[in-house]
Amino acid sequence: MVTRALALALTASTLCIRPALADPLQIQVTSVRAAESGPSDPQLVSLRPRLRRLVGYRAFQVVNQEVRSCDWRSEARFALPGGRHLQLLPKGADDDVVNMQVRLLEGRRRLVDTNVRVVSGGTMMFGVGRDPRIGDSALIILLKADMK
Amino acid sequence: MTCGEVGTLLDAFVDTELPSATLLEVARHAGHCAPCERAVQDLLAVREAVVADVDRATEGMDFSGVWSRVEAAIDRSEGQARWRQRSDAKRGRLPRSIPVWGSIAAIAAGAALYVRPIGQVATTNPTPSAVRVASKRLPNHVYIDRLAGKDIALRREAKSGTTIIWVNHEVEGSGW
Repeated sequence: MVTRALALALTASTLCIRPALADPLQIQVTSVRAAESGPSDPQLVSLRPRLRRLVGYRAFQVVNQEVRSCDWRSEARFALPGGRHLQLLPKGADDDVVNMQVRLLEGRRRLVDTNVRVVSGGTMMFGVGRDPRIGDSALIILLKADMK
Repeated sequence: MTCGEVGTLLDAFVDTELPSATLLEVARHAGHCAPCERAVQDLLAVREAVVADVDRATEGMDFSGVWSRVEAAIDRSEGQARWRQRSDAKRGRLPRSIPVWGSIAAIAAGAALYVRPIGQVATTNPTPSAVRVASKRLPNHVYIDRLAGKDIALRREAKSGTTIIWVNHEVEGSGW
């Protein structure tokens, strides 16, 4: 009985202290193929000027998009084209900034291993370029983390 | 890159003002060097504290009445000049030119009077409509605390703060 009460109090205090972490984190991973020429996906029209400035390519097509609720402090894996994966570990949040570990994997090889803090609702990108398997194009991965 | 070299670049690193290749070198060094990593974290903490302070201070400012007061000050100054001209004309004196510096001083005084915390404005205007001029955190801003990998390039767009981490990118060939 005492143990149950203590556990309940602990849970309640945790919820009170970290209300932002009570809800799972909404993660959106979008894989985009960037090419020198060709049509662009209507879904990316608003992003295209920014992508052009950042990436240098001119045409962008969404290859795959996945939106998933991820639990805090629990690893989540998103499949990407070319046998790659994006592995995320949301560690915590401070105000509206999400702290997470992000790994871009190719098989078991870590292409990128980083700890980032992203503004909730904001988007960060990863790019894999000059890859013979995808010809003259590059793979752009848009990662969006949303606490709402 | 040595700790000494990193030390001279830390400020620019934290402000992401370094070229992407140097930014990456510093990040790599800090990833393996505990003292440099601590220095980066300390600087980031200071930077965030300053940004938060500036945000708080500017959020409390009310600029809504500035232009109306500036216009009123100009009108008043021009009215005084016209009155002087009429008065001089009646007395048969040559009209004095309107002093430009007087108008500038009136504008500055008007602005200085009304750029102040909302709390003070509330005494004269019970429902001030605050205009927020503070530059908020960029919507896509990313803080990179640690970065590891091979053949990586980093680029950030100033306008939105959007950051991209490139892998296997030919830095030299692409002009990055």
